Amino acid sequence: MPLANYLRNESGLCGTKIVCAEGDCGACTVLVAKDTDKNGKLNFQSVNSCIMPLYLLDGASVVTVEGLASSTLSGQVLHEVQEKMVDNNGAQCGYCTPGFVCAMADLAERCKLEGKTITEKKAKNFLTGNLCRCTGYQPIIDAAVAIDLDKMELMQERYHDAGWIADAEKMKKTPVELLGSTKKIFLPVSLSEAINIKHNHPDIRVVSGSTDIGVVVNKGKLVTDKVLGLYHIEELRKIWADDSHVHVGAAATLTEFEKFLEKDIPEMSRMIHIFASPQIKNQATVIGNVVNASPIADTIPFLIVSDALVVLQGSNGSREVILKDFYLGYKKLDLKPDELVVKIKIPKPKKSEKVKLYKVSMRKDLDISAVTFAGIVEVDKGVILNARIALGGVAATVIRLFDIEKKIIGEPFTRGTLEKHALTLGQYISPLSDLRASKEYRMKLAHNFFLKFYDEVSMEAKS
Amino acid sequence: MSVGKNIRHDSAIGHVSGQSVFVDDRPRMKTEVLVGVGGCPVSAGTIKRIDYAEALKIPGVHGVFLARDFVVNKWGTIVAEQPLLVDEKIGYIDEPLYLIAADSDEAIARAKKLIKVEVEEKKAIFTIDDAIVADSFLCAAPTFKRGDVDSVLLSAPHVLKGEFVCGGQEHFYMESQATIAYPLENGQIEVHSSSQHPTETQHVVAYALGLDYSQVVCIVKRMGGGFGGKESQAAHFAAFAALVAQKLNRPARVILTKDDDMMMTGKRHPFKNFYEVAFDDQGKILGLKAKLYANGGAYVDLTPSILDRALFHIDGCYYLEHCLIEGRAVRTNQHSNTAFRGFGGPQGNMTIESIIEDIAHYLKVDSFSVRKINLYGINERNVTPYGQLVDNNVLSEIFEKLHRSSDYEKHRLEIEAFNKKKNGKLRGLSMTGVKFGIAFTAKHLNQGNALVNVHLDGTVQVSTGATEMGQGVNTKMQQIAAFCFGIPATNVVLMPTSTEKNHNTSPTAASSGADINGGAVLKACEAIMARLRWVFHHHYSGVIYDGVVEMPTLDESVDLSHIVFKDSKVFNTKTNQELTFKELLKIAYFNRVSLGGYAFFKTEGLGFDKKTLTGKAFNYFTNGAAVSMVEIDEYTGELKILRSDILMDLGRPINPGIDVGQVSGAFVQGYGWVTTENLFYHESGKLLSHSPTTYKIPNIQDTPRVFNIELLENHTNTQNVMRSKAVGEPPLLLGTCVWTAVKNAMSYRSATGIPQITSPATSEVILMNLGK
Repeated sequence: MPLANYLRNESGLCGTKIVCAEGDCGACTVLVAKDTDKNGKLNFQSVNSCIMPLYLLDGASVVTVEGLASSTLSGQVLHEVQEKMVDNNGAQCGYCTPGFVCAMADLAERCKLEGKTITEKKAKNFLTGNLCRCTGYQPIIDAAVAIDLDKMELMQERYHDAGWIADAEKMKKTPVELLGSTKKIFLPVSLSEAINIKHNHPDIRVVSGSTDIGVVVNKGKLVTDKVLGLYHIEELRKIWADDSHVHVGAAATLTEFEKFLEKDIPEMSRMIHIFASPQIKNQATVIGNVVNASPIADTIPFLIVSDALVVLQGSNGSREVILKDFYLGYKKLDLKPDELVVKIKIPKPKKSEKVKLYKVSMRKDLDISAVTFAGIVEVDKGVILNARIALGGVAATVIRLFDIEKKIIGEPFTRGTLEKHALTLGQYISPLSDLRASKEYRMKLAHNFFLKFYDEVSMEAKS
Repeated sequence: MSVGKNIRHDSAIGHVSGQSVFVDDRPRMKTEVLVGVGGCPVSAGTIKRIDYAEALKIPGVHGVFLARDFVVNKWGTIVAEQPLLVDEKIGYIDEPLYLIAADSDEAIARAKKLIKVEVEEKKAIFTIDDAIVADSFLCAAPTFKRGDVDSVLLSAPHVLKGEFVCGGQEHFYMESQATIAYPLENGQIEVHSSSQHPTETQHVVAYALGLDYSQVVCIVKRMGGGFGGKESQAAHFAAFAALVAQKLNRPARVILTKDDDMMMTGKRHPFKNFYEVAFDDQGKILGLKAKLYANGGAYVDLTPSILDRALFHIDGCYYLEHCLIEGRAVRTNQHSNTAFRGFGGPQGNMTIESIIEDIAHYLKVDSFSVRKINLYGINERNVTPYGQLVDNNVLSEIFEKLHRSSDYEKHRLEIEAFNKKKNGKLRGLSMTGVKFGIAFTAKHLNQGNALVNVHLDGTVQVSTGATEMGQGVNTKMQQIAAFCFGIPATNVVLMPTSTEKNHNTSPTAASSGADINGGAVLKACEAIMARLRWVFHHHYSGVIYDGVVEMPTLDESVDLSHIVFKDSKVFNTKTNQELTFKELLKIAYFNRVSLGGYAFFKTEGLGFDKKTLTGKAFNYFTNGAAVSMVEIDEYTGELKILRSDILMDLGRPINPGIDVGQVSGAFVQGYGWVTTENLFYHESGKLLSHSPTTYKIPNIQDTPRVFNIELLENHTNTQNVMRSKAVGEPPLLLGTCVWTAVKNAMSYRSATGIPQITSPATSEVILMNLGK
């Protein structure tokens, strides 16, 4: 059962609303703390409760819109965020409001903890996951920037309870097996247990963030009878870097990934920034995006041009596969029934390599792409030394344009060169028409991305 | 004094703390059933058989209901021709066909899979073009004709001929259609619905179930957004819940999922308009000939009125000396298109704004100059094609003021220079206007009633036929009552809208909620105040009314206007005698004087003659203008709004804060319609963009980087309550300026000089037409 349904129908907490039931509108936003920060306080993050199954909340704390205001003897005292939403007419019909309030509380909590002020830009970035049809957003933006962080009580302070946190930590170190008559849920705490479970139940659903499965289940297209949750496995939640690679564990979220890459691969960090909402990024994992294997997944083009390696582990040991070889066809993976993807290794781009990532969707933010592009180029004295290019949304999988890459090496880095090769794209890609774009538009975008790639790289080289 | 002040929305605290109760937030009763709605599998044809025997075997399923279970299976606001559930002929794909009542959503989902529907499929009609060819028409609008447009088109210096095509729009109210029906004693039914039109909901429920109107009560506490989508189209879902409640004698809940709601319910009408326009060297329009076609979808619904309003608004803010305006709506195999904020007005208004943009590009002049010379005049050129005088005209004032305050000329120069740089980005600028006619064009709807209960502690309950959907109508009613009695607004509580208190009400629509219901509240309060003044007057008359001596009954001819209500007190300004409001109430009560008031209000002076097609169709006009500067990515066609400035004439607003919120919300909804909101259908007719994943309303990042909203000071609107003006719909029409700004940007790279795009101008539409 999704958290939102539990809150509304079992707990009588109807402030949390369900609108789209697919994590795309934010009306169901609540704060969830799955772990603690370095001070041992609950680390609350906003999530979409409509696609958050209860079984992924073992040992977690949840604060809903009802929990933001505090009740005192003299009545209810609104949270600073709620106060400012009232003052700025941030609510009209009120249906999206609890979600906005929770997302904004996350923004305020984070800013206060990091000692930052809430700017208009920051507010917009934090609220991309919430749709409002009444206000036109301006009153909500005004409310966000009016928040007085000094006056605000932190949720991690109000709900701090050292005893409960210690209990929760213990809870999370204990493996869970829920074996119902129709449903089986496993939450192992070590990788070896997880592999063992996968070995015994090859048809089990591996779930980390549930941002995709949660939607499919809500829409009645899938019944998850057996579930393997990875989030209690400490080693899978890590992201780290050595000299040559960035390593991303299977349960690491996009939020963590985005933050980690800010320094090493800023272009990718920026891409993650626009492609999903904070709520989704707090739940969804990088590996989830990779194994979902959609031709329009937004992380894949970059990972493909980076020659990222997928690390798989099964009962017979582990192996590494180059990502492009991991995809055998539309949503078909080189993955044995008893194997788990445990991490992905991303080679760091060289200083001399220029990376550009593009995506086009119907709406710029929080939208599924029509076409994606990733390009890496290394130019020396006007000559292309090395180029790697991938396109998504133009074939059954994200594709690497090896032929073009081969031909382009040694050619002068000019707009003419890029345009010449762009004109040959028809040989390599076969886009389809669907609701996101016609094939003609997709073709034109692929072509224009080549030109944009040249224009931007050459412009940066000049400046 | 509470009128004119920015007091907060009366539900603001409930909204931000999650305590406001919407239909689906009502606690589930133990015997209650959930109702799932199943739709037709194809777009056209007939239903041959529905086999649900297997579905009934699913544990938790209480029943499956079909068209035949209704006593009368027909409804429709204007023409009762639409089935509640399809009995035989299919109107559109996913049209409600059967109901499943069960204990849980899971049981409904499982039962749905077991229901077999046999159909005989027929060829469907989807587009306006196909419908015209097939001669499939729903209705025609009266033709507006003035002067001799044909001769003008022959003799004019310039003529442009073209088409204007705009798509539909999903309402995307956050709360999908929702109703719970409770069976009461003696066959009565109480319906809690998310409806903009409780009276129609009551009537449809009663009629369909074979009940008297008096056996059904429809209650609306609030809606999570309506935008017109719950004006007519809340009614059949309410009837579904009521049917199940009646049949099973259990409370029944219909809550559509967002996907079902988007697939099953109507949207804004797509239009395809053909025109010929004649103009002089300066761009002054000499004549306009236009033929409008609206896609009405499968049933009549509100289409005739919507088509009328499109015609009423094709003049925009501009004088059309010679014109011939015709309109027809086609019938297709699509969800029945319905009311949506603007109600045809946007499709008419945008046509003329598009034409003007084209004229400017054709003449290679700034479109602002073309707009300016075409604006309605003050003493001449001031009569609409339908013969209504545009009085208290502030259009020129608005356009000029906004031109200055938005730095239009400076931005134009910057854009000229920017676009010469050819750096992969292209900018455009355009200002458009709105002159929105306020009144239902169906005259009988311009009425309202209100019930005001003054309690002995000095607090007041107000009930009206207006429904609250976020627009703040309740807050405005609260302010009017508080203003009358001179008490704090917090002492006035707006009660749920209910057909047992306020009956024969009009839908909360046409931007008129505060106008007609506010007018009624004012009258109800004034009647109570008159009695209270009388009591006050007699209290100080020297006579002691101790229960033996009866206070005389009210004589309205006695002028007591010197007795005023202020600061929770009642004063005699001549004698300085004063009582607290509460004291006076007590005195009135003990003298057996009524502290309740019910009043009826109708808009005076409306007189549009449907035979001559001239006269006062509207009570007044709400005016405004907006200017937007946009930037296009020339590689991808992606669009950014760099800046929008809006200036609105809202008369003397009752609550400026709430009104500004209406302006920003409507504007964003308006440019959503013309940019990202693209309804995409499968060739079978099935709507594929049926959730926020695939249907893109504006996101917070899509808001203009700079966004200024100002209100014009205007105290002249004596025709309306408190000299205010209606605000709900008009600013939506201003979203058009984003679309015309896109056209303007594209003109800088256009081979023909007059770029042609359809609406919505998605990235794809922009990129694929760039350079043409």
